This record gives sequence, structure tokens and C-alpha cells, in this order.
Amino acid sequence: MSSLDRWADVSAALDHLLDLDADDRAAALQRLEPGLRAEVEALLSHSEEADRLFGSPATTFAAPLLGGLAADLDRLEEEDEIGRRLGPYQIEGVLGRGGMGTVYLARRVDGAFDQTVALKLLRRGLDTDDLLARFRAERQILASLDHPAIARLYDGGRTDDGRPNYAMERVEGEPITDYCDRYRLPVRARLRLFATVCGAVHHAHQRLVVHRDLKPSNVLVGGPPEAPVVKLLDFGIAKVLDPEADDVPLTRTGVRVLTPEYAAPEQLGQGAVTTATDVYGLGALLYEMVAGERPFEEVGRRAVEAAVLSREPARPSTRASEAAPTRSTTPDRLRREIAGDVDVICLKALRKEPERRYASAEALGDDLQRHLDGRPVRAQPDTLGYRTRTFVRRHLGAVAAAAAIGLLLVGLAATATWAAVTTERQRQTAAEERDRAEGLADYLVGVLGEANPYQASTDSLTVDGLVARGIATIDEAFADDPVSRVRTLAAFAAIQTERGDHARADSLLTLAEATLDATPEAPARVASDVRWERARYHIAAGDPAAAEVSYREALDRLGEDAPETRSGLTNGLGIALLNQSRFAEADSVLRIGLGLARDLGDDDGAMATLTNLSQTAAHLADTARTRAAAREVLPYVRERYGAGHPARASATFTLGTSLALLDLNAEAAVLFREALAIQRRAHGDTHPDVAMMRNNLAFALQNGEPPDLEGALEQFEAARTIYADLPNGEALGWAATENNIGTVYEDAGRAPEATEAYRRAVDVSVRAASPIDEAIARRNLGKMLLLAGRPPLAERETARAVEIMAETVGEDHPYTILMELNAVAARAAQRPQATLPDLRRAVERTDSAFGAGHWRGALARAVLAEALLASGEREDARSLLGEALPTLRAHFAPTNLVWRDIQATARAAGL
Amino acid sequence: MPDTTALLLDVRADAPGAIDALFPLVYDELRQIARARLRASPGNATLDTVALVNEAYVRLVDGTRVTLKDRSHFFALAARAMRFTLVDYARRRSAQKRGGDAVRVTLDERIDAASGDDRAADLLALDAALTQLAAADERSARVVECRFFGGLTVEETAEALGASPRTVKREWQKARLWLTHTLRSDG
Repeated sequence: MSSLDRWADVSAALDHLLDLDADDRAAALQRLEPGLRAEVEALLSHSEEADRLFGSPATTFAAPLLGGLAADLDRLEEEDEIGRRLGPYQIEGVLGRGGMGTVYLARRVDGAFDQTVALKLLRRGLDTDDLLARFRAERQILASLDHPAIARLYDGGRTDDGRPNYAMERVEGEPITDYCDRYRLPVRARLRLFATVCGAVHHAHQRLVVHRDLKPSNVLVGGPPEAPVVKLLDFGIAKVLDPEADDVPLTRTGVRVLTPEYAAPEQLGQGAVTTATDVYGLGALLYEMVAGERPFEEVGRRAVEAAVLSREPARPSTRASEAAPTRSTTPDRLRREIAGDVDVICLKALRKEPERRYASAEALGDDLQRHLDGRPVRAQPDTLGYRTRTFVRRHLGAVAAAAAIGLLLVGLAATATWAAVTTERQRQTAAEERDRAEGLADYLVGVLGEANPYQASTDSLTVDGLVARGIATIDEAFADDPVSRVRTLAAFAAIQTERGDHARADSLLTLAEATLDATPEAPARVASDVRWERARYHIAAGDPAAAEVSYREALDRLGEDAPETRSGLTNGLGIALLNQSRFAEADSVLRIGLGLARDLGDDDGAMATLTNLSQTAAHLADTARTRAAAREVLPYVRERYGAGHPARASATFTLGTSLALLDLNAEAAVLFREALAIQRRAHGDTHPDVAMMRNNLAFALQNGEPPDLEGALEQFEAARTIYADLPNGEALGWAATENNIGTVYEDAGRAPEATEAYRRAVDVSVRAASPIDEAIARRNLGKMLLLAGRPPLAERETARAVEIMAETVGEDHPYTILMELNAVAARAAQRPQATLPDLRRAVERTDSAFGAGHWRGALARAVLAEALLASGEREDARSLLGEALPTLRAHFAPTNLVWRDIQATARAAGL
Repeated sequence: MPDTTALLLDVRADAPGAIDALFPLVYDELRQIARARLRASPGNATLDTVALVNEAYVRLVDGTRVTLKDRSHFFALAARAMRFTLVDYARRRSAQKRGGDAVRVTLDERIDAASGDDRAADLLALDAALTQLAAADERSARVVECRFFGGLTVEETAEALGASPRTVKREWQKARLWLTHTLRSDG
């Protein structure tokens, strides 16, 4: 090292030398005293290297250290956190770390009780909006789950510096694969353990949570092998399948890099993540648990990704040999144990196309259970090539859909397609088991053939008579053949359902079910069919939740060799979910149904399912998919069915409704007119479906660009006339249509007529005992009363609307939030200043229910602005109104009463 | 939250203890920012010193209340904090890897090619040399700290140290020569 003893001399010499050019510098160096010269020369010889070393900041020089530095800084932070008190907890150690935060071991120290927990804390400096949102989302997801195999959330809080954290159940265990190997669990024990995981995942799915990162290290198992405790962990990148919720995007960098070995193809490609994604993850996990190998043996991220996207995994039995000792068996036995059922179950879960995997994690678990119980499994080798007779499936039951002001009536109440379908199905069943039910087919054809609406004979007296005669003879005809009796009862129930006679359908089904219970030898297929009929009855009777249960039971009982029935049932299940507004689930289920129908070459079934998918796509705001469905289905039904065929009307109408849901009103109106013409030809002018179609056509006209209010009113009035003349008009769309008439008058600026229509809507909905219709009608009536300067009356109606809606659909449902806005507006008209906090809350709730930028949010702001103005806060009112007006102008008809009121407020605010 | 801006004004006024009070705050903040930035791009760890120091300044100091000179004071402190951050880590790393043995210096020809362990050793050697230099020539060492660890410009360094830009340039040149020579001769 160069001595610093004479640094002053060296430094002075350098000062001089560095100013000189090369020649002068050489000469000057010669003049230095030799010792000093040697030192200075040595220093100068490093000029170039010095420039290079110090040419950029130390962080460049230290670049190879920075990766380690990051981890070191994290570790130091973690050490700092130990001993820290957070709410009732004191941090004692580190359990693990993830992308966003560290999980600490913490102990409850507030004396309430002794408890150690896992406490997850967002790392310092990571409190960006994105990560905070994701962290909160994870906390919320955990809070929504309650399952013994999912780590439980205890509570959450914030640190002094604002970082969120939450305490959850402390899980002691090891990755499920390690656990199984350590205890050398045989395959069956592994399958049982795995079924628990399926249950936990299914629980999450029922709450619309998709885990998205299932892998051994996220499934921990503890406890002794005779009583293992499974815990599903880490919902850090889980996703809530809720079209209403903000989708916090998963950034690949920064948060987490997915493990490609367990990622589904749609996670690596562009596909939508659904519950089927987790079914794939479960398949990969199962594969590894039984075979000891992951589905793809490729090495390296890119190679694995390519394999996941393009290659079918080998059957696990062909790759299970080395794993034998840890499964307490020999390689041969292990292969035999896996070959067959377990192979096909694994591969079905791992299919590339989400819709061809198991419909749910539960279905996967069930199939494993069937294997464990020695029953036939449902998964079949991937070579479906059956062709089957076609089925026209009924499309949609009634959904009170869409906006609270205009009500689209979604779905056909009762076209007569079912009877024919049922006949055909029964015929087929009879053919399959001819020896058991000699004569059944003839019998049914004889009695029901006349009732086939495809044959255009719709004289209801005749049909009534036929049905009555058939029912009367059932007992006699099938005295010693209970299975045929069950079938026939179910067939008649179907007809009654079709005809809208729910009470009779119900009692026939009850008889069928009782006979079935007393007939244990009845084939599973028959048991499944009865549940199918029950499901359709529930749909027709307006109870889709009950229908869902029945559809699931029907699927459950179905034998493995009835793919065509499975396809129909899956479509039905989709309808049941759709009618419960569980659109994302319905969408996944219907996609599966579509795959099944297409596999079977069942074009009618595929088109029916695709028609229903247009509904889910529309509800999920997927315009492209909705239009694509219409483009495929319309030419098909136009060619397939005659100009008076109900199936064609049904499909056309449903597609129109999907388009109308997306506000594509001009396209929708064309389809509605087409469906209306077909339906009138098929059923005459007074059929309830005609009323429904007129209602929806009117809706499209009213909301078209430009709105056709006169045309809309004409159609609504015609629909009203039909409903009013029907014996059970209340139970159908009458109240909705009255409401809609009110909205047209409202748009046209005609307050007295609008008020009158809303009053009628209240009356009809009360008679119909239809709470949603009633709440909407009262809310609309309240709105008119408020505009008429009668706030106390308005308050009464709207408060009642809130009460009814909250009771019917829940406090946080968008409908309830809408009702609340009107109720708060009515209060604000009387006590503006006192109501300001409620109004602000209403604005927030409206935004969260409908999404930022929605016109309803703008409406809420206008209401708030009016109250601000009345409270003398003119500036705030002006800026809010300025924000809201463009959106509202684009939404309302120029003559709309509410819009006029808003404009008056704007003028008063000086805008 | 301590008022870091007020502390920075105290530094200019030479208030006793001001630097000691301010430095830990700067040090903490800088490490947090560094951590966040490193976390944001895993697998590709880089740090832009200038951006880092500026972000710390923006987060800790109310720019409307201070002068350019105060800002330079802050940057100089931040430079020292950067030095501590890097050197602390290098020290822990070396201690860990080598059980606390004396380090061997192997200054690699190509900056990028050095392994983390070697670079940790280099950094420790550089830090030791800089400490030595400070004993003989305090200002020279501080110039290195500001320019190299803090990424300060010549002008900012001059402002912070109360010297002319010309002096800073010269000191920077000499100190670099001496440091390179010292590291090299030990290699």
C-alpha cells in the first residue's frame, strides 16, 4: 500500500502534474525527488483503471451484491420486527416469507387467552396501491372462507406506519407430498388425504374464490398419519370470480412467479381463469402424490411451459416405479393400483381445455371416492365419440334481470318443447330397457304423441283431456312395474310443468319420488331422471336454488355411460346457476356442457347451451363472446326449424335478450321482432311468451339510439293487455311490464301517467307476492312522489323498498344499494345538511356496486350535489355536478323527468 | 414522524447533534427505498444511485423550506448512508461465508464478471482504504463518498463540502488514483 505518510507531498505534486500535458508532465516528474517520484508515478499508472472503477456509482460496482442485499435487507427488517407488538399480538419469530410479506410467528399477549398465530405483515416499502389492494383482497378472501382444511383468519390490523397485517391460524405441517412420503402412505391413504384437499378447494369455489396456485408447498399436512390434518394455504394470488368486484391484476414480476409445473394451460396462455384452473392444479397435485413425479418431466421453465401448453401428460401409472418404496409397495403393485381409474381421473383433471375437466373440485373428489368405494368412476378415457339423438333443451327460466327501472324479462316461461323432448327421451330409455318396460314406449307415444306441440296441435282442451286420461290409467297400467310407473309419472309431471300447472306437477313428482324410494332396484338412470324433472319443475316454479340441488343430485346419480344425459343436465345446471345470477359459475358449467354436447356431435344441444352461454357472457360483459354465440346459433336455428317453431323463437329471443343486456338494443330489437313473429304464429297473440317478447322488444326500443318511446309504449301496453287477461298474469311479467310503462312515461316527461303506472305496478306485485317487483315499484313510485314535491311520502315508499330488497337479496346487493340511494334522496329533500354523510356513503356504495364511471354513480353525485346546494355549499355542488352531468346527459332521454330535475339543480348552481 | 426538514436546517446551523439525529433517518429511509426497488425487479438487481438518493430526499425533505446547499448536505448524508448500506452488507456476507476470516482482495478486471463474494471483499477493502485516506485527508475521502457512493455531481459535492468545483474535481482525481493503487497493490 502506498504510504499516506507523505500524502501532503504526493497530493501537492499531483496537483501540479495533473494540470500538465504528457510531455510537460514527464519533465516535471524528472524534477521530483526520486522517492516521491516513484510514488507519484505508481499512482499515475492507474489512471485508466481508476476511471473505469470509479466511472459509475458504487451501486454499479456492487451490482453482483445487490441480489443478496435485497434478501439481507428483508431479513434485517424481519429481525427488527421480532418483539414488536401488533394489536394483541407480539411477534416472536419468522415462519416464512412470500412475495408480499413475511409470515411471523406471533403470540397473543393481551391476556385474553394463550394462542400462537401466524401473522402476515406487508413488507416495508411495498405499500404501493396495487400491493395494498392485493393484500386486502387476500385478507378478505380468507375472511370469506370457513373450512377445517383452510387456515382460518383471526383478525387484521395495521401497523403504526400504516402497513396492513392479519393474524391467521398457525399451521404446523409439511408439504403434502413430503408428509405422504415420510409416513410411506399407500396410495389409498393418499387418495383419502387428497379428497380432503378437494373439499377445501370446493369450499373456496363455492365462495367464488379460485386459489390459482395449488402445489404441494401450499397444502400442508401435520398430525399423525392416522389422523392427518390438512390445511390449504396462501391465497396470495387467489382471485375472486365476481364480475362486480375489481379484478386486482396479478403482476408476474414483483408479486410472484407462478410455478409452471402446477400451472394450468390457461394460466400460461391467455385463457380465462376459472374454477377449472384449480381442478387442473389439483390434478397435477394428485399426479405427483400417486406417481411421485410431476405430470411433465421437462426441465427448465420454458420447456415445462411448452409441455403444459402442448403435450398430454403420460398416464401416471407409466411413471410410477421409483416411488414404490415410499408408498409401502412394490413397483408392479403400484403401477397396477394406479392404472385404470386413477389414471383416467388424473388425466381428466389435467385436460388442456378447462371445460373438459371435472366440473368442480367436488366432482373430482367424488370420483376418487367412487374409486375408493369400488364403484365405477365417471371419468372416461378421452375418446368420446358417441353420437346420440338430439335433444332440444329448454332454455331459460324467468329471471328478473337487469336494471331496476326497465325490466327485461329473461327467458321463455313455457314453450311446449319439453313434452316432445320428454317423449323422445322416454322412448329412448324404453328402447334401452325394453325387457323391463314392455309397452311403455307405445303407451307414452299413444298418450302423449297428440300433445306434441311440434305437430302444431295445441288445442289445450284436447291436451288436458289426454293428460288426465293418461294419469288416471297409470296405476292400472303399471301396477306391477314400479319403474315404469315412476317414469310415466315423471313424464306427466314434465307436461304439467310445461303447461304451467305447478301444483299438479309437484304432486306427480312427489308420487314418482315416493315410488322410487320404495323401489331400490330402480336403475340409477331412472333416479337421475326423476331428479331432472324435479329440477325443471323448480326452474319453472321460480326456485333456481332448489333446481340447482336437484340438477346436482341428478348428475350424481347418473351412470357413467350416459354422456348425452350428462350434457343436458349440465346445461340445466347452468340455467339454474344463471337464474341465481351466479354468472361466472354458470359460465364455467355451461362451457362444460357445450364441450359435452360438441363431443357427442349433438348440434341441437350444443346450440341450446351456446344460447345460454350468450346470457352468461352478456352478464359478464363479454360482448365478443355474446356476438359470436349469436352468429353461430342464428343461422343454425333458422335452417333447422320452420318459421313457426318454438325452439327457434326461444333461441332467437334469448340471444336478443343477451344483446339487450349489453345495451346493443338495435341488434336486439331485430331478434325480438323475429322471435315475436314466430311465437305469435305458434301460440297466437295472447300467449304469455308473446307478452314477454313484447316487453323485451319494448325495452330495446326504449333504450335504443335514438329511443323510440312511442313504439316502446305500444309494445308494453300490448304486453300488459295480455298479462291482465291471463288467469295467472301476476305470476308472470305483469308487474315488470307496468313498471316499464312507468319508465317510458318518465322518459317522455309525463309525470301523472308515470305515477299511475308505478302505482299499478305496486298493486300487481303485491298481489303476485313478488318482493323484487314490489320493491322496484315502490322505489319508482317514491321517485315520482319526490319529484312531485312530496318527500315524506317518498321517504315512506323508498324506505319500504329498501327494507324489502335488503330482506330479499341482501344488504349489499346492487338492487338494495339502488333503493337506498332513492331513500336517502327522499330524506335529503327534507334535511339536506343532516343527510350529507349518508349521501356520501350512498355515492361510495353506488360506485362499488356498479363500478366507477357508471351513470348511476353520476346520479348519486347529482343527488349529493342537490343536498350540498341546499346546505349552501355551492362550490362543492358545482364541481360534483360538473363531473356528473356529461354522463347523465348521455344516459337520459332529454325529456326524462329525473334528468329535467337534475338540470334544474344545475341551473340553480349556476351551471 | 420527526421533522427531517427541520433537522436538515439544524445541520446548516451547525446545531450540536443535528447530524447524529438526522443520519439514522436518512439511513433507514434509503434502505427501505433500496429494498422496494430491488424487490420490484427480482432476478435483475440494479439500483440507480441518483434516483435512490433523490427519492429519499423527496420523501424526507420539504423542498420549499430549504436551499440548494441544504439539499447538498442531505445528499452527502445520503451518500454516507449508501456507503454504510453496501459495506454493512458486504461485511455480513463475508463474515457469513468465510467465518470471519481476513479477506483476500481480488479486484477483477471486468466489473460484471466478479462474483458476489469477491465483490464483497473488494468493497470491504475499498472501505478500509477510504477510512485510511480520511485520516490523512478528510476532504478527499468525503469527495469519494459523495461522488462514488452518493452519485452526487461535482457541483453538488462542492456545495456540500464548501469547496470549489475545481477543488472537488482535483481531489476526486487524486483520491481515485490513490484508492486504485492501494487496492491493486494488495491484490
